[in-house]
Amino acid sequence: MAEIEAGGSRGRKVNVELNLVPFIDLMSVLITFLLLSAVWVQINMIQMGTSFYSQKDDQSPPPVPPPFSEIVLKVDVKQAGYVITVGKSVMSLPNQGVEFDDVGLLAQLQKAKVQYPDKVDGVLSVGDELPYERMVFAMDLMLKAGFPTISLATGNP
Amino acid sequence: MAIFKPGERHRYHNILKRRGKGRSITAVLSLTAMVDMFTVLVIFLLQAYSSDPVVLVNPESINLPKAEQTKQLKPAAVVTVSKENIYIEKVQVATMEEVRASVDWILPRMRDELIKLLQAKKIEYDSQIRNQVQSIIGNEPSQSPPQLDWKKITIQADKDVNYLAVKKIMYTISSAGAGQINFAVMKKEDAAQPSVSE
Repeated sequence: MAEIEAGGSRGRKVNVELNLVPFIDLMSVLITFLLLSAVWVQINMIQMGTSFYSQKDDQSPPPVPPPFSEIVLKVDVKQAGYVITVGKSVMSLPNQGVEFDDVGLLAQLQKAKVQYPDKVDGVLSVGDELPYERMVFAMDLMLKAGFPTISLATGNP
Repeated sequence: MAIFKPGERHRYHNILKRRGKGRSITAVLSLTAMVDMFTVLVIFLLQAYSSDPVVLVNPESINLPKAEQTKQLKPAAVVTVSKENIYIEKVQVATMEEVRASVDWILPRMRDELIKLLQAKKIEYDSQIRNQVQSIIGNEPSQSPPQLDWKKITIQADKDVNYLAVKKIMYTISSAGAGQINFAVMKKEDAAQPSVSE
């Protein structure tokens, strides 16, 4: 126990002891509660931008097209790799070995952002045979490059 | 450690003192280290404690994809897509076999369930709005604000699910009248280069 001995050379020594038992009880209860209620796996979400191409609602106001929406920014995710279309220029980024060229796609998207800083929208098209994970990766790269309004094309790339 | 009545007592008590001859042995159990450890543990757990009420439940073990540019999960109706089944709020509405076999992009049973769910959410939202208005008129203490995103849907799908199946599910969700679709992901820490697991 934590204790403090007080008193001088003369007279009775006074032993002042700090009772730690309630403190330890409190700590034990608090730790048990926190361990039980803790969420160890943090799940977040990736947001698909509200596209002005999407289904119209009667109640919601007519959507305003984002700036530079007439300039096409499209990312096609195919089995063989990425194809990025910015305006009229089309660039293929074939797979590097078995992996997709994510670094190359991010660089091209960032280049497009520098070219059109106010543009926020883009279209993503993913091959039907690919796993869903590929769509999330591509969306993540588009968001990272600064294109938060992402529309998903229903057709095949 | 023996339990004693709290109060004043001498440091070198005689619980382990040998009876009879010989030098006395005193065992003092130091609680300082334990208290230190408890304190550190409580601070760590308090930091990790999430007050966010949105918790997704996995009916089956689902490996969510990872992403860096994420936002905090918002309350919404949850559509779970595992490798075998599709659930809406823990209720199984279709199997992946059915989805793969379906030529039509709309999955009827899933759409019907979703319409029912959205209608229930709309009724709940309307009643919350009514209560809110009544409390404002009657100068009553304000209740919790109504959930404005009753049309939002969160898809939590396994990362290896075929994209065509996800497209059919999204199309069905959209045709049922739902609004914004969000995708549940695991937070990936920022890396120097994006990594891809194939």
